[in-house]
Amino acid sequence: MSLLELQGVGARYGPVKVLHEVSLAVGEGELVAVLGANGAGKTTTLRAVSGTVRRSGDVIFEGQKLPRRPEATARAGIAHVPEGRGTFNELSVLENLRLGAYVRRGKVKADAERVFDFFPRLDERRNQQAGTLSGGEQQMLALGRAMMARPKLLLLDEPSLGLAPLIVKGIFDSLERMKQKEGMSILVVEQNANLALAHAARAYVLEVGRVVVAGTSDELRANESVRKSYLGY
Amino acid sequence: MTLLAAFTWTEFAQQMAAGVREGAIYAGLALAIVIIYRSTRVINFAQGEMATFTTFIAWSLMNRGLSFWVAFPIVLAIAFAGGVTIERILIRPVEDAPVLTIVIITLGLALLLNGLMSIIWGGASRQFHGPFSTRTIDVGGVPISVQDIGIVVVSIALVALLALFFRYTKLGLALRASAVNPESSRLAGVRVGWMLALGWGIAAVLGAVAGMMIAPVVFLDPNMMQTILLYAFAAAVLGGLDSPAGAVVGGILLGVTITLLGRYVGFIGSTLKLPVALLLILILLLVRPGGLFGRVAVRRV
Repeated sequence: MSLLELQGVGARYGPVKVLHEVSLAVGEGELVAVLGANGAGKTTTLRAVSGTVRRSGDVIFEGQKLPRRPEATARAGIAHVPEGRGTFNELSVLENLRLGAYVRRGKVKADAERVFDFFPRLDERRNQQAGTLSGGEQQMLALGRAMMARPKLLLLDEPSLGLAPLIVKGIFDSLERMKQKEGMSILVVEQNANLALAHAARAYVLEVGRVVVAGTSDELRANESVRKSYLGY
Repeated sequence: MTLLAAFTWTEFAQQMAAGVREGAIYAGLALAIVIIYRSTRVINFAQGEMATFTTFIAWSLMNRGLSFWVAFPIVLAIAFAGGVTIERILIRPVEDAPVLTIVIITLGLALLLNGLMSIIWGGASRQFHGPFSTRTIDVGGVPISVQDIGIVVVSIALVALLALFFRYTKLGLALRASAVNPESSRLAGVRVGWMLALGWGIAAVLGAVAGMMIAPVVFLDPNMMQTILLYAFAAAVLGGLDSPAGAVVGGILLGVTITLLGRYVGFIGSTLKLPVALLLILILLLVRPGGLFGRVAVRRV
């Protein structure tokens, strides 16, 4: 049984329908990527899961229908690192991490130290205002906040956006470690298809709000049209 | 008429003490205004009437024979519940409406509460017996009233408690987070709607304390807080509407400034205090548009 399943999920912003009948699944301990061009509905797919956009269809998490409220999604064990990373700019790094653990009880201090072990750069800046961090550090903080919640599933929106290649590599390495060490399943939305396929087991390709191709990363790399449109060779 | 009144250091110290006492009241109300403003961008014009209403409840309880310090926590609990209820019933349904709509609702609430007070308790001024005696004690050679000291101590204690709450508790952190980034707070599992209600509850408690502290100094009537609320608005703007610390500093600064000006600058007296205070703030805002502690929103394009 899949950890997360979207069954015919649609979503709209006012009169504009952005997602049409999207169905996808994420298995236990899997890293799954959603690829697509700008405006294909990648971000909206994640938002439909966490309930930050009006949706139709069913989202099943651990065999149960997920209510459409972000607070409830968080409590169910889903951490969503949104577009723009959702940093609390005015609060300190440590306070950002404390908020990550909001839905849990106890052991917040020890968990924060674990995050600092994971991202030593954050340790140096623990009492600094989060808004003063660099883009890469803010992305680390966003992952750290997600770790603090000890989620079963991480929804991650364009982790590579606006970051230098070397930093992006570091971020994806962290994702691998989070998957292995923390046993997290990850659904990541990414424009950089080469990068995403290098780390994901499976991927879905979205075009104007519909899943047009789905398969393992190897299958997608072998797919002629995917290669031409998204991988650039 | 002389422009400058006669000066002695003893009297100056007494005026300072009176100014700090005034300022402590403004600070409390200004803080209440800032807490609601930060989370909803709404100025709560009913803050003064809410405070007076709860002070009347204290008066009624004491009239039934309760002592001040027994009535005090009861009134705070009632104020908190009242603040939360107001947010749930009046503000929640118009949450997504333009700010102006909500501001008009708070104005309506102020009128409603004012009318209710006149109906329930009548419009006459009443004496409110505070917890502190009005006799003076000697502080380093300067006679200062116990009441002034008491008001300042209670206000400082309240502000300190709030600061600890916001800084060190999970709930306090969630309140601050909801104010600066509601969307992200929801994703972290914070029930933002309830945080807004909690903010109203805290603001109502701050108002209740300010009301019960100032009522023994002035007289208790339905309009007791109206001028004080104007000063509190001024203090909040002076400190920067976004900054709780600014509200407290702004309140004290304003209290001291107008008390000293009223005493020592002949033509100001008690009648011109308010316009002069507002003029000074206007000048300050021309120099620092965000207030003393506030930040001016810079938009990146």
